[in-house]
Amino acid sequence: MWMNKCRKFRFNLALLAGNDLEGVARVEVERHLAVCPECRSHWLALKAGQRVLEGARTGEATTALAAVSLGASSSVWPELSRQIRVIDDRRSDSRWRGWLPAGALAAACLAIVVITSDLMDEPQATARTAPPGSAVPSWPVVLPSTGGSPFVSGSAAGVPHERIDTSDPESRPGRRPIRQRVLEDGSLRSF
Amino acid sequence: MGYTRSMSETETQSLDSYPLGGGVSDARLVEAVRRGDHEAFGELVKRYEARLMSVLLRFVRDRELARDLSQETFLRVYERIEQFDPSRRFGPWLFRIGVNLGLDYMRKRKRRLWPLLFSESRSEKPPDPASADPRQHLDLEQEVRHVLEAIPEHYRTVLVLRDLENFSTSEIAAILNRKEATIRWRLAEARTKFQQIWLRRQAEKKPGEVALPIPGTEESDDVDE
Repeated sequence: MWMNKCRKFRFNLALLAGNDLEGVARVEVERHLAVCPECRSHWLALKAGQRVLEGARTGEATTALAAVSLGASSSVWPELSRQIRVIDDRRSDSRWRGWLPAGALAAACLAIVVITSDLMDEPQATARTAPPGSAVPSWPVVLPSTGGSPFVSGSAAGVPHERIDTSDPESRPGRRPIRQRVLEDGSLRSF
Repeated sequence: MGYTRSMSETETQSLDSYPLGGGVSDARLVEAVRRGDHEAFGELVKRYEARLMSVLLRFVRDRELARDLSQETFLRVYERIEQFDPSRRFGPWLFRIGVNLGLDYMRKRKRRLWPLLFSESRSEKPPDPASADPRQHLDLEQEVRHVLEAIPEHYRTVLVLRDLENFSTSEIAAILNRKEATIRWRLAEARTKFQQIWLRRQAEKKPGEVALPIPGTEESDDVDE
């Protein structure tokens, strides 16, 4: 049976068997071994186990075999260098590919902005840039009211056109706006 | 660039012995690899491939597989080189990746046989007439393998790395990402378990079978050192 005192050396005995114990701990264990036959026999058994492992290592150990056979011809480097180039290529591709979604998103946003601004600008541009004497649209044009004041589309003086008076209380939502035609002499005709 | 260092020189060195002598340090090479220098990575591969393959052969049974795993290890190292902390040693980091690959492989395959300690298939090697009895040595290898199989993995790994691959306990601590005290404790436990299982197996030998002699016991005064 292991005595209590011996128990604390048990861990160190295994380390001592493989020369992994140094300093004060080693001295203490060696002193204990000199006076304790139980621990000494345990230590000898551990040493025997170490010799078995050593015999296995030094026999046909893979270390030696690998070292001998691993000449320049069997080095993994040639194959590895090819694979590394593939990795590098993939990396540089993915670097560009990483920007692709962001670029596409930016382009899509830009396209949306351009299209919507065109759509919003188009009627006003037609209304405000129509030069005098140009063709007057034959349909009534309803433009957003600015400041609640009535305005005239195709506003060239002396050109017959239609206007909608949105300021009229009658033109509240749900009510049909008053439509008037401006005649050549400047007079208005409601319809 | 002059990274050359002979294989025989590198194989015998410990993980942290580069480069103070004459060669370029691992840290410098890693730095160069990060800048895109392939040749520098080739130098790192040449420095470590033999040792790495030797370690991996402890975990898997055949050489080709060990070669594939070592190649995979280097590929992972290359892919993760940006994650490597240059203030630490490169060797243990590399071996950590390699050992984890080997252990993962073994777990996946759930092989009952502990990886071939002595990698070559026996049929490839003719018996050496100079040795007294080649069968005896093969029996010893097989027996050791059986005993190692019976040891739990976290003890076995430490035992293999220390007593079969000769890594220091601090290197093993770095490879397995554990405190050195933990490694020493596991090593002590592993040695005790190995010895107990070995003795039990020898005692269980059938009456006709001869128990294997422990290497070195011929010179019996050796034990009284």
